[in-house]
Amino acid sequence: MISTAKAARPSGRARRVALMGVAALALAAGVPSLANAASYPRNETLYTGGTQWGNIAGFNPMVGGAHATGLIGLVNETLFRYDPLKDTYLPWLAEKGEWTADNVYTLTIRKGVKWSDGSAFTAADVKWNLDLGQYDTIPFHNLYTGIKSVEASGNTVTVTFDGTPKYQEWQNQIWNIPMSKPSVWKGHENAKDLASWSPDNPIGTGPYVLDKAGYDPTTRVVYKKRDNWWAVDAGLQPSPAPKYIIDLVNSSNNTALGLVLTGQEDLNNNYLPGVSKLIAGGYGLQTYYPQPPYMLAANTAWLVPNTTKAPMNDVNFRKALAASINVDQIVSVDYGDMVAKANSTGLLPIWDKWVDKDAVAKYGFKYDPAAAKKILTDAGYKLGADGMFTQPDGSPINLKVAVPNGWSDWMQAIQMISADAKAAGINITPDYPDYNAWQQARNSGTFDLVIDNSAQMSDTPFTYYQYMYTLPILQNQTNFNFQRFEDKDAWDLVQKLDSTKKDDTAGMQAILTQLETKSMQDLPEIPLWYNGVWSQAGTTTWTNWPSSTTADNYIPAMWNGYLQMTGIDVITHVKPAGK
Amino acid sequence: MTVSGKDEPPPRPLAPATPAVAALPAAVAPVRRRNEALYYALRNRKLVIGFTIVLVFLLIAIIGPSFSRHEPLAYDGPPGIGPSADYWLGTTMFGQDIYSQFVSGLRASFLVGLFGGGLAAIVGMFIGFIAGYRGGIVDEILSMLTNIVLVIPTFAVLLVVAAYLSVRGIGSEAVFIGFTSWPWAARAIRSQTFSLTSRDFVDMARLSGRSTLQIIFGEIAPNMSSYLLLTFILLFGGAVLTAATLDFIGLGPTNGISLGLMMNYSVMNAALQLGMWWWFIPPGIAIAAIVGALYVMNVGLDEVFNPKLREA
Amino acid sequence: MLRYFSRKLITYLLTFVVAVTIDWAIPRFMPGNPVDSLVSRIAMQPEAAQALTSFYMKAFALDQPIWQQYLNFWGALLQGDLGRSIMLFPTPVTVLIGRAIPYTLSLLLPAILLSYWAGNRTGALAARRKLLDNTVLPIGYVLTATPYMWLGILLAWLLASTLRWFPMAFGYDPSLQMEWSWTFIGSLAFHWFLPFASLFIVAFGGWAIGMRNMIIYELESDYAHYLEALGAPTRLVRRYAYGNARLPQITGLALQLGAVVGGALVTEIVFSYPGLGWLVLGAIQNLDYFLIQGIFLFIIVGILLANLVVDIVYVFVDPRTRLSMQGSGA
Repeated sequence: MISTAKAARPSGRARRVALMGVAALALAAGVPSLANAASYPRNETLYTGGTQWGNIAGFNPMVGGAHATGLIGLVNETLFRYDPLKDTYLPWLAEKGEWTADNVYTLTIRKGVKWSDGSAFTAADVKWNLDLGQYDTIPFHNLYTGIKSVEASGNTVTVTFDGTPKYQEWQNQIWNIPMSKPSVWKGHENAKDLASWSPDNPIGTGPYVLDKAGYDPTTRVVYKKRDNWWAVDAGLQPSPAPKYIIDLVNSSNNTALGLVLTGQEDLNNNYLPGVSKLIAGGYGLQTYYPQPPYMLAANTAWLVPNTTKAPMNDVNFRKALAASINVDQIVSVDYGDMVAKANSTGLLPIWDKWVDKDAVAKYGFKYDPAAAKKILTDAGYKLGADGMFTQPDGSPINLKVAVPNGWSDWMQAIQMISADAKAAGINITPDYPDYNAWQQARNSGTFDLVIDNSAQMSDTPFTYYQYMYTLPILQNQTNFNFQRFEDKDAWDLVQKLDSTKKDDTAGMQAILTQLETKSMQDLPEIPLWYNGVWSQAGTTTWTNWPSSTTADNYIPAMWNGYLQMTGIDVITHVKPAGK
Repeated sequence: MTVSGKDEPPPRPLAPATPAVAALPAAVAPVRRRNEALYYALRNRKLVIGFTIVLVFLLIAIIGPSFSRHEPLAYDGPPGIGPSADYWLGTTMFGQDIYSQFVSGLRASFLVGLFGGGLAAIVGMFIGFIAGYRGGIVDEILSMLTNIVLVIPTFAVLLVVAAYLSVRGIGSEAVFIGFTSWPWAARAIRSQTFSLTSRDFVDMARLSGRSTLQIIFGEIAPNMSSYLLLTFILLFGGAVLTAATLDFIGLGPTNGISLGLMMNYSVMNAALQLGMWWWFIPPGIAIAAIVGALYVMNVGLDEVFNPKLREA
Repeated sequence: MLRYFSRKLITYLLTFVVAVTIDWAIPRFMPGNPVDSLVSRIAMQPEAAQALTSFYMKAFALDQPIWQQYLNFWGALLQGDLGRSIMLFPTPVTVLIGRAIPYTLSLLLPAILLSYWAGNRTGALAARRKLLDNTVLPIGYVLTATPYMWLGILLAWLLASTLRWFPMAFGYDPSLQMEWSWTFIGSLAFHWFLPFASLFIVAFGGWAIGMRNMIIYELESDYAHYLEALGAPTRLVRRYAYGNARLPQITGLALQLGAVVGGALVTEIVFSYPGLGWLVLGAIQNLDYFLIQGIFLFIIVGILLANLVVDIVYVFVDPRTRLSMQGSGA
């Protein structure tokens, strides 16, 4: 039987011609007109990237990390700002803030500030925003439960606390709580919506507004400069030069590097391996420091042991482990000197003034594999014939150190760490589970060792010790104390620190010295290196990026929490290239 | 020409031409058949070239590591240098020797191909034979099973598996590939079996009281042996390719090294952008060459076994 | 005929139910809790974190027993509701898929159809001309053996990064307004080209080889020889051969769909092309149950439908299938 089916060849050819015709037409129309019909002129647009992974969720500033990049800082502003390099608070939407009594904080709201829709920013607005803390889905809810009342009158807002206020936490929040226009949230002021609803058109006091026409959740968010930004009128900031700021959704490290090198992205905050090689290569790339470590330190990478498991529950084991790791090699080989080794307390360089140098000299640790072996032997561990130690009770040591799969720099780091540990007789193997499995293991306490860097740069070392010692320990730890270390005295000290006023330097130092000594003596977690504020900027379209060599010592990052530090200064000080 | 002689081709890459099994009559004495096959085999250019390429890579995989001067994952060398006297294929950004990574990776890729492809072949044969021989309701059920496995996004299943197994090795990868790439082989074997089942010698065997398994492995399979060989080669090549792709997206073994993992690491570290082409390109070329050569070999073998395909 | 179709339909329905169940189950067996990821992003005190966690668990009905969740899933599915995304709460999953589908389809359909058509043509030509056979064929094999992602990245580096002929990422030029202007459409096409090319190149090889083998086989068959003996012109013989050779290729098309979809997803990730592939990557990283389910459901239904269509087409194209349906099994 012969098939009578005929290949539809004549119409196939016609179809092919038609297809090619359409494609050619589109290309022909596209290519020449691309050159001169861009809606956002290149020399007026600042392209940023490196913060937004995955689709953009929306514009709810209350859900930290789940709103568009730049929302807080460009659109919604805060009462104060903080400069970590100078350790000063900058009065922003609040002109003044002070403790008028031990438990009363009075804010003087700046006059003449207007929301982007033209209406006035008032003390009543501030009260409304602060009162949101009553809902338990708001991040600062815990702090709010210690507040008795918030009163607004004239342009003053008075916050009265119940008992001794948590000074450090309050000081940390006044430059983090975003101010939104209350009318935008009409009908949505409840716990559920505050955690999940996103306003279509966020209204803030900042220098930019959302350009709704350009918003594409899969690709980009566009901000457009507004007129009459109060900070310019008040002489606090120059008028920002970029008319548009476009933040692009992240693709991959590979593509990000390509975009920066070809000048399609101006400021990129991805971790791009090999950038150190490119700085000197004439590509016009700039980092904060022109020489190693190139990047400012953003947080500390800790080796977190699970102190509920043996032998990690033995302080001698932790000390030996700390002495066996060659962090210098990780810094130079893995990171190409783009990071710096941490000191024994783990505190960031911006907190150098709080570090008790004598305590570090006395209790600090350093890389010394022989000393590591000695510590173990003295503590009763026995070196076996295979070169590996066994525990004093005879059980073998077989540990895994885990980082999320795909975090290449950490993956390389734990390969080096496990090699170092084995050289000192401690049997540790690297493990790269999928991110969610890793996170679950970390949160539920089923891991052996992980690397974690959740505690970020802030205005007080209190946040670091909160990260280290918070009690009680729940079945599921979501943010603090992953090592599950129970030290009631240390936690009491941390809470005492919280109740110490920020300007009581001597008081703070006394407690901090105690905490630093404790953390070095007990090593609940081991500080390794400082992860950087990854930031590389291209100079083809915009220049005058911040640098350690100029007076513009700002932090060039669009990450959450950074714009209200000195990130916004970066935006207001860039100049078009070629001027 | 029977209807059921037409086979459904496998998913990417290509359709194996159906060797009409009837072309090799079962009555031919074995010796003569082997000599005839060998004669044509040596004169078939595709087979020779394809086989040579695969052989060369296989030899590199077996002997190569003994020439490595450095461990594949050791951070010994100067970072990011190109091919040189001491480092034949250059080094990675972290100073690891790419040559030794390459030859170790070749080994891993061949192993996965062998075990993954072999497992898929076994499963495919099992299901294909039984479905083809028994027919009826058994066939319906097995066909539905085949369809389901075909339709499930294997990507998704692998992610779950990957998440569960915190340490993944070559073995688990081979098992996974083996259990997900058999459907097209099962279908192809099934239709071949259909055509054979209706033939006289099978009826004779059934009359003489042989059991199902005895008939399948004693009568049907030997008559399809060339086809089975072709299928296995395709499965082998497919397994190597699939393993490389899985490694590339980060779902591969968590320790050791393979060609796909090399590609993955080089992309993670933006090797091409930074000019380290020697890290990214060799593994991809190796995969393309090996799998491509396997497919060429396959077509050559097809021509050897099926005189109808021989052209001049 | 009717029996054939009804049997096929039942088989497909059963396959659908089983496949969908597996699809629903898969994300839930992944270790980790999606709400945890959401909550961990916000630094808060343990008590506040607990409150937020329980809020989200209720919102996603994740606190109900498993069998209840399964039934809810079917109930919602039959109403066309795929639930709400977890990581992009409260955006419905259908909205997210709707945004991404045009991009993925624009890659898949042209790539599959064009590579099928061009590959078959080239294969048929190669079957006739020895010269073409010896050059096209090896190239075809190597192309088909190339990993999608590797080729994609190579193309991106060569053509986009180094030569700057094409853009390297995204669906359109980020400096453009999204409007139906020629500029925008041109930009869409420009950005579409490289991902499409990498898919097309790899798929093309396979079709060419398959077709070439089929044609040669057909040309050596009895009826072809018979026609030649009768003195029929070569063109006529080849036309019949081509028609017959296309049959297994059609089934091959259905089988290949799964692989090409996988290739498209992976290619999108390379080029940051905002289709389903990119979306599913984020969904998996964030353990977004509902989004993962929804996307894979889409893919499953798509492949099943395509298979069904191909089966129907096959019946009309090849009458022998009807014959074979009438006597089955030994």
